[in-house]
Amino acid sequence: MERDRIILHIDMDAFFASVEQRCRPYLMDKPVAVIGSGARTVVTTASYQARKYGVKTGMTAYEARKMCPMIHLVTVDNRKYTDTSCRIVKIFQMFTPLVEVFSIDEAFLDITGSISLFGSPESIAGRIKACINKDLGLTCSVGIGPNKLLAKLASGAKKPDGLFRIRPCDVQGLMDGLSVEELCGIGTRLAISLEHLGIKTCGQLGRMPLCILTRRFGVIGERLKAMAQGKDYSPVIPIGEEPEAKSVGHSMTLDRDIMDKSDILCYLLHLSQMVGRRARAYRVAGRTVTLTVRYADFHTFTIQKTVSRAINGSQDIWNIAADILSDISLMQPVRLLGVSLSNLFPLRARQLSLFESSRRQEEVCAVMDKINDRYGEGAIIWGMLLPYCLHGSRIISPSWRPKGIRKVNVK
Amino acid sequence: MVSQIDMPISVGAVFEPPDRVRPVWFMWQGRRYVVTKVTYTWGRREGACRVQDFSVIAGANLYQISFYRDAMAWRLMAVDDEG
Repeated sequence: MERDRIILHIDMDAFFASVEQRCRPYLMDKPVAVIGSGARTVVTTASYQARKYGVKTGMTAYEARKMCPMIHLVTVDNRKYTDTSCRIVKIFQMFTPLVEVFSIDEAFLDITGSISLFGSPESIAGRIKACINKDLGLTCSVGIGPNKLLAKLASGAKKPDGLFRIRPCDVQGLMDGLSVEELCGIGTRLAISLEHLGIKTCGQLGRMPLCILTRRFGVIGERLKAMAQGKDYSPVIPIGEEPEAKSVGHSMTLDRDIMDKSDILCYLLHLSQMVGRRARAYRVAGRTVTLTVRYADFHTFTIQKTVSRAINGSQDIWNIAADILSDISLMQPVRLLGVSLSNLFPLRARQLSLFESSRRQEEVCAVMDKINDRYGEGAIIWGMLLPYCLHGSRIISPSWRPKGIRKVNVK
Repeated sequence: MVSQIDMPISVGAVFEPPDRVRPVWFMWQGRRYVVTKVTYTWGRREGACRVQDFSVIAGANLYQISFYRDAMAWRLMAVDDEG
């Protein structure tokens, strides 16, 4: 089965920066960095011209300018990118229904069944690249492999605008000298742990006795060994068939560090409203509320509280988040706050509240949702949020998907 | 430099089936601007209203204009004089 599959991994080249360069032709072939819209922003994507100067994702605007004084900093416009991503997915779906969106600018396509219709894998990859370029003026790098792991490895081999295929017969020779960090799923910390075992390359990892790996890494030991041998049996999970979301959450980096709990409560209400609204839109409710706090020195902690009944009302979520907050003695000013709802249950039927006050609260929520659905997010907000001028979600999370509960409407 | 404008404008546009719209000219501050190129277009929603955004070149500048499909109304959102 492993040898028979043909998987494509498609990675848009410097996605956000490329979209901005298409939008503004005067930025073509110039160093561009797309930065967030918040006060404390970082580079989200740098064009290949900027990367030549060492500009990288995560740098501050100041650092980017220091690296490349002539850089053009463009403020992120997330709706442009999410719409473009949806259009790209539609192009993929012209060639196969088995499209798994991995992130806003990456996807896996299982084209095993499409070969007889559209020709060789290289021909399909070439047609997809041509369609994207014709319709959107963007380039992408395509990797072809017998599984997702190798397809992803292949797409990174020739960037930008590349096309590279790893055939089953090439796998052993390729993996032997490859650094473990090149594999998707092995980050710096795991690589350091492997290095403590004397493992630096996939060849070394693949030859390591399984018992040593499972003793050190537990259940993932077996998976690590298989990965190092270029084996990956995970299927391409098409859009709409993803496993159900385990939680619904939002977080925000504040424009300035805050210590005052009444200020924090207002931000928590805003986050609770965003979480509750998404949960209600997709008809789920949860029993566990998690509060995430990041201090000014980036020390981050989470505290959760589980209640007896599943909730999705903004005020219910906020009450629990506020409860958690009341038990915390803040040691430092707060830089980031997050609220999430987990332990989710689908709402198949509406449970009417027994108490008048709860019913009224639900009605208020429902009316607010209707108004915001009709006139746009923020058309009606809680009065105590008025002085704060808060916006909805401004960051595209890695778990963003073009459909379903993971589709967050960003600004 | 990008200047945010956000005001209603009159636009001459070509509508092509099934639902393609292409702005050809627009009026702003009593002047007619001829669109020489649509550099990019993207869709979004403002509440229930579908909005189509266009990045267009007219004269020496780059403009962002938005078409509110349900209201059949156009707005000039921003001017980028670096264009």
